[in-house]
Amino acid sequence: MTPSDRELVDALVRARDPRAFEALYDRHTPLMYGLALRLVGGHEGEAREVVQDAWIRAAERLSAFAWQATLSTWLCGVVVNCTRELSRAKGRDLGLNLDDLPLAGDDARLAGTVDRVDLERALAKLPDGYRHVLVLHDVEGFTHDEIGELLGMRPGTSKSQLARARTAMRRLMEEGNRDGT
Amino acid sequence: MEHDPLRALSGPAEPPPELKRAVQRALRARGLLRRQQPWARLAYGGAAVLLFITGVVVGDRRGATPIDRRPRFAILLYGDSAFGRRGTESARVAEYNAWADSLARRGALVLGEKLATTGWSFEGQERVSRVDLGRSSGEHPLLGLFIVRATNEAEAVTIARSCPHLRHGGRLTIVSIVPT
Repeated sequence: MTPSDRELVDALVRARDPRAFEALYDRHTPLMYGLALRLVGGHEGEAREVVQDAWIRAAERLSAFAWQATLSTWLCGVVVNCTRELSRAKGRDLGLNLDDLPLAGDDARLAGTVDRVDLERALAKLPDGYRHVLVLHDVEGFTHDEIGELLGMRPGTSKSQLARARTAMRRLMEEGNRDGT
Repeated sequence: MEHDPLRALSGPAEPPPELKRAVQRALRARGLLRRQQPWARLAYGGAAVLLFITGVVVGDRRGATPIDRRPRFAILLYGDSAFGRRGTESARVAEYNAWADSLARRGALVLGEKLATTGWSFEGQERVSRVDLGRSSGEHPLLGLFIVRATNEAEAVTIARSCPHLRHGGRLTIVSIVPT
């Protein structure tokens, strides 16, 4: 029988069991790495760094994990925090200038048929702060309350940043289309 | 319902194979993961080789396990709240691991460990208190230590000078271990 996350975490915390860690790693890292890749705009080296930091931090804090969320959700939260720290460490601005872009409507999602490569390219060009909110909401499906908790902001701020992020994204897509024709 | 192309980007991605080993190394360096028992590997992979070697050399080299009698030194690593602001934790750990590996290759490394900044403080048997050195302002908590072997103090100082901890704004102290 496949051991549950809780059993594996117990073995890791109590006995620092390498096999338990390997099972947890194999089970959760693809999701963490996918999220990290999107949050850093497709930069593989940075995504590796984020996931490594996230596992270190998770292993340090697993003994205090209260199982109020699934392990997978908690690990994704750790990935988000590590991504933010990496952005700060690299001197990239996370504070968004709320006046630099007009607000789009909150429901103004990108719609229709859009090439995946164009999307990824545009995402990579977004400032880190915009990209984090956009990825968490529009790609990963987090609510504004959850994003507020993850990023340490009010849900209202998450909403307004998302609207601006979508506007920025749309502009980048349009620029990409113009350059490509 | 309108199709949302961004949602299609969601999902897992195949992590690079070397990442797992890097994470395991980093966790072991912090004492968060037990080392695989080398005896298990020897038992399966190297048993035949060992038996052969034992059979060949046991006659005239019995009990000849070399004992390193060089003096040992403790390199104690300290850092205040400003320590490690440059770069990321994982990059720093990789740098320290590479340094420790280079010492190990030269036979100079005995031990290297990172320490938590919280613990328990004892004064006699009665007074026990929780300490959080990381939060005490103006202090340089002990962050980790290396124990190395060197032929003399000068060589030990040279080793300590090459420690990446100094490049990250940390302080270190080197003291010789008194054989008892």
